[in-house]
Amino acid sequence: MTEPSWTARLRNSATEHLPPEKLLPDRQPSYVASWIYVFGVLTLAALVFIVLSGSLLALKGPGWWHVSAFGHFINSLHLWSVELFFTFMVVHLWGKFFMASWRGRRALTWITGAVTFLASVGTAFTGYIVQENFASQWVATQAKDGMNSVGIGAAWNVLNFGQMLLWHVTLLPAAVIALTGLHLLLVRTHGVAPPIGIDPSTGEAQHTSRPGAIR
Amino acid sequence: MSRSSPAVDEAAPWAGATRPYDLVKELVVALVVVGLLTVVLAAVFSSPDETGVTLQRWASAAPSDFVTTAAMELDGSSTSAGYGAPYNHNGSGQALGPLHLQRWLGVRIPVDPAGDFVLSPLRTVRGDPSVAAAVATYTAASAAQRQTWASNFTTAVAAAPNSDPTQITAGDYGPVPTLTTSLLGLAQSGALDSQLVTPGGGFYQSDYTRPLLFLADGSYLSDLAQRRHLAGNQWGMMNETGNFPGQAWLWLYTFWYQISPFKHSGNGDALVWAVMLILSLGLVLVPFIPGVRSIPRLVPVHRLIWRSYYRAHPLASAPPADAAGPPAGT
Amino acid sequence: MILAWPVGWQAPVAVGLDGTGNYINWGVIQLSVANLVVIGVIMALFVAAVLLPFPGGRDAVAPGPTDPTENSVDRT
Repeated sequence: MTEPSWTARLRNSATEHLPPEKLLPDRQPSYVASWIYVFGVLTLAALVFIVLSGSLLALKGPGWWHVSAFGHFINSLHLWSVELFFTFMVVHLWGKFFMASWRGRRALTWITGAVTFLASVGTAFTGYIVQENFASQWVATQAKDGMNSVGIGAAWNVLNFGQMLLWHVTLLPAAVIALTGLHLLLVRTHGVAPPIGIDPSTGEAQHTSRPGAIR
Repeated sequence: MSRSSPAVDEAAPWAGATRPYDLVKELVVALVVVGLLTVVLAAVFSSPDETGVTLQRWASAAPSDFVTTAAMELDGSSTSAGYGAPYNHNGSGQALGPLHLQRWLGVRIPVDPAGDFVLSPLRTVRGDPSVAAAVATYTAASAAQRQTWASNFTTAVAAAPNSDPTQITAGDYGPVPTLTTSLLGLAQSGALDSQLVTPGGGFYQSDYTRPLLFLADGSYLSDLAQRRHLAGNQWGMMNETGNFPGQAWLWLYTFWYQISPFKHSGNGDALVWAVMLILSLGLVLVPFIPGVRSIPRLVPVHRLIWRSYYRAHPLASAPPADAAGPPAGT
Repeated sequence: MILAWPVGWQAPVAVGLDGTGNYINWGVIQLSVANLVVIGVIMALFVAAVLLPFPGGRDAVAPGPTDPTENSVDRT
């Protein structure tokens, strides 16, 4: 039955792919029993604190932390939550790689994760540029050569503080948050990848004549 | 990638054993742990904030370098003067083989270093007839004459003891010494900083293209960076001032600049970008890359991760010859 | 309130990381001690996460369908 209503179609599709029990499950496969599995949520938690501390910095503007000790502390929260974010994200990435978590039509989960990583690198980079200090000057004047060498340095001018600040505070965090959200929805939709060699429909070893490629 | 037997559908919903799982509690615990970690790290280590270099500070701390740079803007030998796109047409820029990407969009941020960095700011000077006369003399001269004056001056400064422009030998420099010395004074007064940011004399400032290009043309900024291990050939991209951790995740991006051919190539930046673009695509597309996607099976870290599950549900020890035969292990 | 913290008051920093950076040179590799620590922590966390036993393995219940769309019957 095809619903003529776009709203109904959207609702049906959403609830079909992600019913509440799948969106917020209270059980998980028993093989999800390793500390490696906590690094995704640790990365997410770090992202929360990046956004919170960044929002506090935004409340008082980009120059505040240079003239206020409390502002400097908030800036420190922002820096260290970023260091933690990348630390946890790399461990999460290594774990997912060695678990080949893209198996079982979960390639898009891997792809969104990798793209989020790249977007995060870009976001962090613009953060360094808008610090309004020596590091910003050096990073910007160096990075401009890279951007210019491939022709994007005019459209994305790292020497333009105003442009970089807006990208750092609005556009890039929006991209990272949207990608993270999509990544999380994909994890909930497809579930956690089963152990290599195990058939999820039985919970026991796979019975194939050869292992085959990890797809 | 053909399979000789019915493939197991690893996308199938999990039908094996399960355990209770509190997703929300896990998130809350993670937030508390990460929050505490962040606060402790911030309180214990703080964050770096080395004050930026103004043109005033540059001119005051390194007047010789400032004057030399100003002269190089005039004779066209500075980095900005010969940069090419997107600032001017004076250089061909970098290329990737036949792809001249740097030039492809043209001059979109027009910068004329001699005019923008030196002559225009000097035209705003009031109450000093010698400056106005020097500017008038310089701009009235032919391009060849200007070039001669400026080149002679930069050569003489480079040859002077400590590159001190006050100790150059006599020569045919025209008004260039007056121009560069006056610009030095303008910079030391602090006026040049805002003049370069708003060349049209506007009020609000948010684009620092001009003062940053001028600043980077000199050696003062790069000397400061070199002492802090921030230069390109010092893995600088991943470093931070002082003893703070930097952007360690840029290790691979900065690695290429430490080795040939990238280290010495005039197209080094473009080459590194090309390599990193390919590698980044590779990272994103790992599930589809033969060999790479098989590494998890070949380097069995997963056997450690799922060791307790494998103990309870052993894998087949050897693949059965015939998929239709009895299941392995029974 | 908090946002009215007095300007100019410098919070004491327990471990000052300003000043001259410490670097390790090994062939073409030049690594700051700080970055080395970060990378070391990442590696240590990965190894620890993979090797350390995870509590609660005994809570597994007998096999049952986990796909909640199929069956919302009480599973205890």
